[in-house]
Amino acid sequence: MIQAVCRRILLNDSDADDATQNAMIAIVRGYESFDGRSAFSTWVYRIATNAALDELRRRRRRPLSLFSNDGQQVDIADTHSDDRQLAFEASDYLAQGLAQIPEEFRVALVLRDVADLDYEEISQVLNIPIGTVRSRIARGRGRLADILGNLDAPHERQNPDIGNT
Amino acid sequence: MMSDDPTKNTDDNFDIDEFSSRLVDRDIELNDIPHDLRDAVQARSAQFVATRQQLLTSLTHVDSSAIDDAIRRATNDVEVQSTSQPRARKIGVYFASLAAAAAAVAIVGVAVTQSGSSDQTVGDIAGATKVAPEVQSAPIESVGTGDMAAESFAPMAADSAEAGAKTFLVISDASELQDLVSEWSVEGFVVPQKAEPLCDDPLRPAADVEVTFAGETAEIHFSQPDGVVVYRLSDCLVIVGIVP
Repeated sequence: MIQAVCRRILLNDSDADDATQNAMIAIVRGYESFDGRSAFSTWVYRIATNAALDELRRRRRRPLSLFSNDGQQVDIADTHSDDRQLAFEASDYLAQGLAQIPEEFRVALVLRDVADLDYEEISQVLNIPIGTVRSRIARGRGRLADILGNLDAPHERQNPDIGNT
Repeated sequence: MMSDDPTKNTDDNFDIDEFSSRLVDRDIELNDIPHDLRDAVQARSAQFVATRQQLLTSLTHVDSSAIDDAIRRATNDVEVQSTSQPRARKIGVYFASLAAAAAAVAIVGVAVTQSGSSDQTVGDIAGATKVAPEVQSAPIESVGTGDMAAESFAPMAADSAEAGAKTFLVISDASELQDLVSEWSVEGFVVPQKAEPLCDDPLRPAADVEVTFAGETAEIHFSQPDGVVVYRLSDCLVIVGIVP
């Protein structure tokens, strides 16, 4: 499940494997410092989520190679290309949808709908208030539903608010 | 707050989405939703449930070799680290680590089983201390987790401010900032203070957290009486503030 969470946050198998490995090492290294104030699984997810977020940050810092008009290779740190790159690399339909959701919404959504954590646990994992958890999950679900609706059948894009009253 | 025309735009649809999401999670009941929104909320909930089911069940293939490598590397890493420690402590760390690895694998277990690797038990993986040569030869630094471990434990140790562990916060907008301020304003809550803030604010000390606000790397200054101000780290300009 750690690997599944990393995959859905990072949307790239290779990066997810790196994050999984780093999470495992952090778990082993930090086991003695686990103070039992949260469930062990919450603590493990916290580490896995941080490993995935660290990997995301590392990925953003990687230079992006572009070619100028005269054929010269230019390496730049393009922090804005990440989402487009994610969408390009996404291997499946759900991943393509997730790639188009802002990172903070995606992480909350993955913890809820992939890891099946409850609001309180997500609040502990991400260290944010429960109200923010609720809001991010709702926004993430809303955007994902709209995106998947468009990916699935653009001509049948449903707005559930029409014709239901 | 409620919109008369929930089809108008995404922001107006947010009430529908929030009700729907909370209904899916059983955080509220249908009776808690205003009558005029119930049909729309139920329809939207059905979409959310369908997507949730797909997300819960979609990743059935898990690369167990990556997990195995991770466990081997993790256990090896601890062995290397602990060579300079007293023997009793070393053994304690080693068994505790194996127990942690086994427990972590137990969480992974469901997914691994789904992938069809049922012949590899948790015990096999956790006990796999024979390390492949290429893994053994890898320097610890190459793993790149030196700071991550401490960072990862920050929330669990936040109240006791252990080991200078730093928390990373991503804040999307002012409403999330308001949520954070509400939490920090609870009596008895101690906001860790940064020793050397990069931006100058004589009224509000800087919180010792790494902050991204609306995509900008930022420094957050807070005090109970004077509120919160978020400064963009690159030039110390105010991005947003909530002050009394």
